[in-house]
Amino acid sequence: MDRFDSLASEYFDGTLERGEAAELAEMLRRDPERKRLFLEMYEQNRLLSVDLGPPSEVALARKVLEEIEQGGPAVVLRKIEGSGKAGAGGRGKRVAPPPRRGVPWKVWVAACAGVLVLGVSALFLSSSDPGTPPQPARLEKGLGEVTVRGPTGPRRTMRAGEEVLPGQILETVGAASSALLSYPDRTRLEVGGNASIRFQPDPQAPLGKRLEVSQGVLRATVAKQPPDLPFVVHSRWAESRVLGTKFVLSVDSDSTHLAVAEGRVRFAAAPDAKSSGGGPGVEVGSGEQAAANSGGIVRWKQVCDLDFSRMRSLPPGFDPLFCSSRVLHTPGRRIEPAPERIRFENGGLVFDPAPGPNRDHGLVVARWKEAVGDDLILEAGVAGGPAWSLGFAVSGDSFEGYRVIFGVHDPEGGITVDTIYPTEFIQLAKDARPIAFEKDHLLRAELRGRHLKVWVDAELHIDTVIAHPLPESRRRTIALSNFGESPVVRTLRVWKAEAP
Amino acid sequence: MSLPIPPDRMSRPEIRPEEVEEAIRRVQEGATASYEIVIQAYARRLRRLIARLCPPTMETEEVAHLAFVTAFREIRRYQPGTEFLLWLSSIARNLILAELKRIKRDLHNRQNYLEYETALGLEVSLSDPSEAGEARIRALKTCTSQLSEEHQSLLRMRYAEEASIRNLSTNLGKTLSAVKVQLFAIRKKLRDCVTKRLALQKEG
Repeated sequence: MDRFDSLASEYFDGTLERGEAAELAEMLRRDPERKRLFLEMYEQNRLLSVDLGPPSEVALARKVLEEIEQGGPAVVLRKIEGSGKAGAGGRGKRVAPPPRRGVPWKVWVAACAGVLVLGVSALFLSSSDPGTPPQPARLEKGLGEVTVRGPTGPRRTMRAGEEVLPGQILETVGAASSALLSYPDRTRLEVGGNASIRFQPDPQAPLGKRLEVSQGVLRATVAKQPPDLPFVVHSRWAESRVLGTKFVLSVDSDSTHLAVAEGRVRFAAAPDAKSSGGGPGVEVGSGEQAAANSGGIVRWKQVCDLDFSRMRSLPPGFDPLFCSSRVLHTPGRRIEPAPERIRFENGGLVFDPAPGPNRDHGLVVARWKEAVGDDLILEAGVAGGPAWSLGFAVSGDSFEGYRVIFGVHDPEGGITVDTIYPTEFIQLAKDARPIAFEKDHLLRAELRGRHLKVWVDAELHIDTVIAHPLPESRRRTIALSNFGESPVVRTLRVWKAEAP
Repeated sequence: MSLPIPPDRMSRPEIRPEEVEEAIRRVQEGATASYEIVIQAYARRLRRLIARLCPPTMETEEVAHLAFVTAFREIRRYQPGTEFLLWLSSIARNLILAELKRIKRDLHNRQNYLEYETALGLEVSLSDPSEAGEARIRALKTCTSQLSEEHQSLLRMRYAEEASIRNLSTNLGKTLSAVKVQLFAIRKKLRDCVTKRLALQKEG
């Protein structure tokens, strides 16, 4: 199996990572023969899903008739054109959910196809009806334990196809449970991480989709909403108002975190937040993040978004550095440039701390040149493979800042927070849960003041306050480092805090 | 040897063409419920035709759904006795074509440009009248039925039950990479078999 076969195989297995997708696309672009083979396999894959998948004729007929009978041809057309409040309700399964961009495809396609095939009557291009309450979200798929309960009623297991009624609370129980829901207008919600979400929590609130997220992770792809009826999510310390976008909202015991993939979200302190009593909040755009806690709202502005899988050398924003282990923990610590210690292979960035003829073993560091401050988020995607370790440095580089080391030896495969300033290793926090090295992971650290949180794949591993003193003269930047077996680092994204 | 077909996949009694035509006539006269017969008669064949050309941004099921709804709205335009499936599939093709054009226009897709490259390739297939669509579908069915019992079982778990690679690995007691390699080998075998059958048909 060569690299192309391997990437194509990952694609059809549904395990292809973003960096690999770019690599595969490049291969297809350059090699028409590979493109032909890929398309044949693509077609074959889709056909197998139809031929081997469960029969869906009856379900399809039921859905189509349901839609037709709801309002007759005029309503059907309005739904097809996407201008009706209740959109077409096709709910198929997707092997690898592709991102939806801009106008939802069905709306666009239907509009174009209407012109191409049948012609469109302006009669039906009416605007939405703001007086109609939103149709409930329907559970498409549940993994693990997905339950629903009324405000006071008992909790019961929820089954695919059921709707979440106004006032009901949907919960995904345990980290392994998740739920996929959709609204008739193709707004989709992915819910997980011990989530608890109340749908349409306030019967007195203006019409429009509303959720109250008490905890967990909500990943939403929101179809375009009427201007006067935004999709509103209430959560700890925050209120997010959306007119059509993709975002992820994570809510834990003391904060709400928002990451916007596309579009814009108005993110404000919750109206009842004691710190600010609500307020206009901030606009969070594509690629930006924001967080709310008892201290108020902060917008995270992106510092860099790097796809190492498409690079051949370290970007100029970094210094490649090395310090021999012979002097690393001594007052004579010497840090030197080491561009040869960082390579780009196997679809990402790889550190090379290993000894060889005329060279020492030591700590290899990729340090961001610019200062980014003390409040920041650092997120790296690493490929699954043999056991590895990777260090993040925040509030300073790997020699003077705080380090988060993933995949340490003690506790084996766990995470530690430490510093090696001024010379010796000082452990500040640890988490013993081992990382599964064979899997791809998204590693994340967030420092806000002295509050440090560390996640692996959206699961919080460390939540601590660090107070160990660091030198005032240090450059407050970030770095990646490696001292042993290197992972393949595919992506790196960094955000710094920007006061609203 | 092929596996026994689970009860829920056993085929229903075939709906005869004249029954479908009669159902269409009744729908044209306003009997909406009769449309169910039309959908059931053509759903699987339509989904196969759609599946072949559907870009990654769309779901086969959704295009089929939309094509049926669109056809219902325009059912009075249909001339009884002509090929309803052909008409239906031309609606579906136009839906797909519109989406492919959208992907091409949308510069954002260049960021995820595997989707973009795939869409470009599918657009070529869609516009090629010589493309052996039906023959390819038949060849794949034959080739799938000729696989070993173990391979058919693995395919069914992956495609019918939508098992993830991790679940397959756990259930089969194999490593992740062993499952991936085996699936790759099966897909390759199927592709080679289909290519060979199409070539033979062309020669014959």
